[in-house]
Parts: sequence; C-alpha cells; structure tokens
Amino acid sequence: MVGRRSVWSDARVIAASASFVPAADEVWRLQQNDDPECRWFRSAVRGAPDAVAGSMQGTYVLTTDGELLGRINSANPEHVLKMLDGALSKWRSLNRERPRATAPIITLPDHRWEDSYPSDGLALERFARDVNGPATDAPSRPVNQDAVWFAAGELPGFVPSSGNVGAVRDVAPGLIERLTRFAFVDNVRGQTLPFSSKAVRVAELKSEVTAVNEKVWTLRLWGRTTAETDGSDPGEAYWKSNRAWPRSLSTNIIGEARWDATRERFLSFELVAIGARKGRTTFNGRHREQNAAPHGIGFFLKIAPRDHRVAPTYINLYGAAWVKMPE
Amino acid sequence: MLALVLSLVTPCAAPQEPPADGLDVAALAAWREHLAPRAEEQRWREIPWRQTIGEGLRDAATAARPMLLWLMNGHPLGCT
Repeated sequence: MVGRRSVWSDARVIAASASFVPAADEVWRLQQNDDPECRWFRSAVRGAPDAVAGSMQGTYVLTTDGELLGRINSANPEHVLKMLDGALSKWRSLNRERPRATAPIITLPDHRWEDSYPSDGLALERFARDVNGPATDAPSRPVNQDAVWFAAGELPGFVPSSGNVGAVRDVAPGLIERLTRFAFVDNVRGQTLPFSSKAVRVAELKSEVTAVNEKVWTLRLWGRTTAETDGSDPGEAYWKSNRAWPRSLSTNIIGEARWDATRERFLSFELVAIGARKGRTTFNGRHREQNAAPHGIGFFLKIAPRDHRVAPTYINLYGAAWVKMPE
Repeated sequence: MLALVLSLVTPCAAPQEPPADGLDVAALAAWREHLAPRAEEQRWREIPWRQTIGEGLRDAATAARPMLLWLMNGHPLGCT
C-alpha cells in the first residue's frame, strides 16, 4: 500500500508509465499456481517455471515474449524511475533488432476470482481509515480499499417487499454477515484476516423505504455489527496465522440507496460504518499499538466504477453459489 | 475525541429505529466526506492499470510496448 502513496502517486513516475503498458496483479497466485500464465511469469523472471516461496512483490518490466528488462522492489520513486529508464533503454535497443513485439504465447488461466464479477449485481468499493475524532476533523492517513460483491439475485435481500414509504425489513442475514466478516476488518494499514462465521456476535441491518418516485425507491439503511475472536479459530482463509491474535471490531452503520424496482438494481448505494477495533493480526501494521485498547475505525462503501473489477480479498469465503470456485 | 467515536458503538438495543447516537442520515454526508479518499490519495489511479497480468500482456502485444507489471501480496489495486 505504501507504493500507492510514494511511487505511483509521483508525477514523474506517472509520466514515465506512459512508455509502457501498465498492469497490476496479485503476486501469490503468480508465484504458486500451475497455470500457463503463472509458469510464464516465473520462467520470464527466474528462468524456470517452478513455484516460488517467499515473496516476489515488486515492479517488473517484461516483454511479451518473456524477456525481463527490469525489476525492483522499492517504495522510493527515484529508484523505480531509474529502473524504468534502464528498462526502456533496453527495450529500445531490442527494438532496433526486433521492431515488433510478439504476441504472448500463453493461455489465460482457467480460473480467476474476477470471473465472478457481478455485472448486473452490486459491486462496491470499500474504503477504511482510522477515526480519531469527529467527522469534521482532518482524516487520518492512510486509507486502504477493498471490494464487496453481491450478485443480482441477492439484491432483493436489501429491499423491503413493498414500495410504500415506511416499509421496513431486516436485510437478509447472509448479506450483513458478508459485510461483518469480510468488509468490516482492520486492513487500514495492511492485509489482515477475515472474521470466521463463529466470530460474528451481532450482524443487524435494516432497510426502510423513505421516498418513492415512480419506480425508484429511496432507502435508508441502519444497523450494527460486532465480530470478536480470541484468535484460536484458524478460520477459513487460505493464509493461517501461526499465532492466535485476539481481536474485535464493532460498528454502527448508516446508509442510503436508490433502488430501481423495475430493473431490480441499485442506482446508488452508500454505507458508512463507524466503530471501534481491538487487537491486531500478523501483517496489519498494528504492532506498535496497545492491543487491549479500543481504536476508532471507519468504513465507506459505494458503487465501484464499472471498469474496476478487482475481486474482494475474501471472495473465496463467500460461500455463495454464484462465486466460481477453482476446479 | 476517541470517546466520541466509541460512543457510536456502545452496545444498544436492536436497532428498530435509526440510531439516535449521532450516526444518522444527517451524519452520513459528513462521514462520507471524511472517509472517502482524497484526490491526492488516488493519484495512482491516473495510471491506466490493466487489472490482470493477462490483460497487460494482451495490450502490450497490441501496442508493441513492454509491460510494466506491479505485483503485491493482495492486489495492488485493491486491498494490499
């Protein structure tokens, strides 16, 4: 995440990136999986397709026929710029001999979580920050983001059955549980673990029709969540901590949405959840804190731009039939 | 100020009504403004990132340019 703030927000790096085709991806799959794309990457970078332990995080410049032109893992924009300059020089040198790039000789993977993108559902982006005072204060930094997805068939679970002002419903339990376990987690400073289903103490969300304009219903949402674990339950995530990290996170939620009752889609959807967290996990950057003390945290969710399709971190744990799982 | 924040999550009865503890619809806009990323926190989005290595390779081949590939534990454009 620090790279977003330091390297990729630097105007010189942004300008330099125009000489390349920029792409971003999750590194663990590329290090470990056996599909042709992952083997291609490892062969290009390491000269052999074997799976790699450790971490291959960083920035690479590659030709489409698998030549590595540059590589660095740095949060220093000067160092990254130097690597990019060198890689571009190599590319120009190559191009004198080989003026056209060759198409990559790989096939797309059989499975990516992005394959489950709910085109006609609700794809939310979720932002998280520490909260140390009232909303009028300057926001603390950093902000981190993730996504939460709901399929089209799940959306009526957010909506009262009648379009009468004042109609109220409890949002379907599975939907608020998804937010509680996977969205309302402390990854403000870095990756963390989700809450297991056993950790959910409170997951309540109500939805009320507050206005109706022809077939568009305005909804108010409100509720609360609490998840708490002593850390002994390893949970269902791929990655398991080798230590038990006791932690909890509670929120109060408020939100507004506009529902197109004809098309059964949301035209807008915004939630704010303000709460308190305790504890830490291995990599979430809270090692300098008093773990027993509560700290403020806030989340903001809204509909993601349609071209942003990066999958939610814990989509593999949704337990929903519409999520395409690997073979 | 933390006390104010924590007061928002004091356990209360099941929410049959919108919460009366300060987190109401009127507060939504203020908190949204507070929590949403600022423009300077989103500058990295000015780069036209392809969201998978496959898209990057495809477009690099089409454009006859090298691919700049940014890899992190956790997707760099999502939660990392």
